Amino acid sequence: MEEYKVIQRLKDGDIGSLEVLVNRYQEKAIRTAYLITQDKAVARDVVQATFIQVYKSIHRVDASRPFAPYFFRSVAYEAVRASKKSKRTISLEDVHEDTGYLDELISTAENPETVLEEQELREKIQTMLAQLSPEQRAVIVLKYYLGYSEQEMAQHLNTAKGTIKSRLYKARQHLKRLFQMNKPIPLQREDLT
Amino acid sequence: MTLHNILHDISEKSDADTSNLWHRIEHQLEEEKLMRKSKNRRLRLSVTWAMALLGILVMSSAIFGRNQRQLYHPVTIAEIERMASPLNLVETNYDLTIQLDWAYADATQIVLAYSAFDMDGNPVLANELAENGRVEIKHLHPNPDTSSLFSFFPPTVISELDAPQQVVRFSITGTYLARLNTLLDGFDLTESGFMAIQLNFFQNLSNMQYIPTHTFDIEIPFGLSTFEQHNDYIESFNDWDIDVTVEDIEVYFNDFVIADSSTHLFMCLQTPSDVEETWYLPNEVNLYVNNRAVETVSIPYQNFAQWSDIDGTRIRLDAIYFSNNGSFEDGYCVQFMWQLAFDELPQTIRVEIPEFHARIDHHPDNPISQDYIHLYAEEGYQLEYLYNEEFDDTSLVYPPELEALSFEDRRRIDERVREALNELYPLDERFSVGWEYTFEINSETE
Repeated sequence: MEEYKVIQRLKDGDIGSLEVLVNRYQEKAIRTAYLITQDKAVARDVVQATFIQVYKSIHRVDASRPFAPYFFRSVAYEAVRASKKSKRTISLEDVHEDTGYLDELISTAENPETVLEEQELREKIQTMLAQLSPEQRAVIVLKYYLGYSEQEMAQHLNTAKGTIKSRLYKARQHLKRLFQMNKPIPLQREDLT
Repeated sequence: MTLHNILHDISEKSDADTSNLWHRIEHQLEEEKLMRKSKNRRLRLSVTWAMALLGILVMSSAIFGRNQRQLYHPVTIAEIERMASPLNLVETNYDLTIQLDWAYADATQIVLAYSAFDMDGNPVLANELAENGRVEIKHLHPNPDTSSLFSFFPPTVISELDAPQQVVRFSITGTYLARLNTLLDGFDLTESGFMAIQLNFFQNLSNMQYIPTHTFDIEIPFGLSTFEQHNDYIESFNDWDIDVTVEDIEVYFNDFVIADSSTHLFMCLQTPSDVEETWYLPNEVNLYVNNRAVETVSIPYQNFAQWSDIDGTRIRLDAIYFSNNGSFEDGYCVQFMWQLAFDELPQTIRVEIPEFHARIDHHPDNPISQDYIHLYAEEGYQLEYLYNEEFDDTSLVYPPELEALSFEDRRRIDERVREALNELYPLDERFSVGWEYTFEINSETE
């Protein structure tokens, strides 16, 4: 069924249409929320809450416009809120003191012969993501995972474009610094420009 | 492998492909539907109660209206006290008696009034809590006859409270201590959303101890920020973040906060390194309200009540000062705050900042610091650097005699020292080109 019809039926009170949207978007939404919250259970709660919110405020949704950008904006926003509540951001100092992670990265940088396995690479990047603030993770996820432009992100996160640029800049700087300490990561150039 | 692919791979850990949320969503919607029905029944039964409450509501509206009229004006300590929650909590331990008199909290400030006495009933002074923390503490007018006060900006997490019935819960620990902790040590928001504050009290410099002695657990209402014309709520910390980068230093205005007790505009100057520099705004800050130039004046921020007409206008730029908010993600956010007041909320505010100055100081190994201490010694007050092994932190401590001075006396000494220091170490002009920001208030805050 075409999406605008699903939205219109939901507006008319057909709760079964919500199930259509859930089945269509839940997987990507959970992945998105997980990347921001870094927590499986919280990610599910976030997506569930977002669908409920969509249902309650469906009268404000313009059925003639694509639903996905509106929905993923809401997911990202809820994920940032949930992430702040659960305080999952780890400071560099914490990581250093608690796990010796920085020592490990420095050691890797000093030993350019080391080749990281892909699995290890993913884990390291996930650890790096965890060191960003929820807002920074959100802009990274919206831009690089969902592929939104800065302008779209500004609309999605209901904030100024300057804010997005600033957050993206800070997030990239943060990631760059960590990447530079861990040279073997085979990122494509466009990922960080 | 692109970052998109890596992120996709990482997201596999969410088990999203095997998740089905529909039944959970359906169940929740059913539950909420039942709750709504139940609420409706209760509502019908409550009609008579509503009639009885009408009188109370009328009275509340009158009180609310009175507060609304104060929205854009600074309030005195006495007015804050009238809005505050009385506490009258007393605890004596380790020969130190601390009495919490009242507390007030909104998005622009949290104010606690307290008294502290030694075993002979002599007043004991708390030092300034922090120089490098996330929030700036203002220590106000220690006076044996009345409560001492301190106030500070609530951290973002506190300001995000978004319902009028929510309360701020403090856990306050008083200690004998003659050194400064960073606010990260002295101030914390617990997992449960409560705020812990540590008050540090002087006994004397030769008898320094670090003994947690007093703990108060209190809850007070959190005053919401309001928007007068629409009777609407303004998010306490709007993400305005209008930013520019000047010579690798990012500057942005980030917050415009209107609360019952004051209206503040915040600017963050984010330095790229962790070098603590002291930044100075010269007096050439220009302010335009609705495109009309307004004369500005700097009034010491400690003084709530000083507020006078200037040049026939009804808006003033008040209380320029700075703080090093050391917990920022990348480097330091040096925060400047303007306290504003209006007859009515303007459409636009434009701020022009022609230049900044900076100086690195207040480090024990820095000759400026030694001269700083020497200059205070010439005034008769011995400052001291103290090292705390537990926190691996060295802080400059001001003697209680200096803290006990009246505001005016203290200001005169501080200014003499600052002028002498500026002669010895002229400020370094960092930015020759200034910049400006314009805030479209209505469009951003509605």
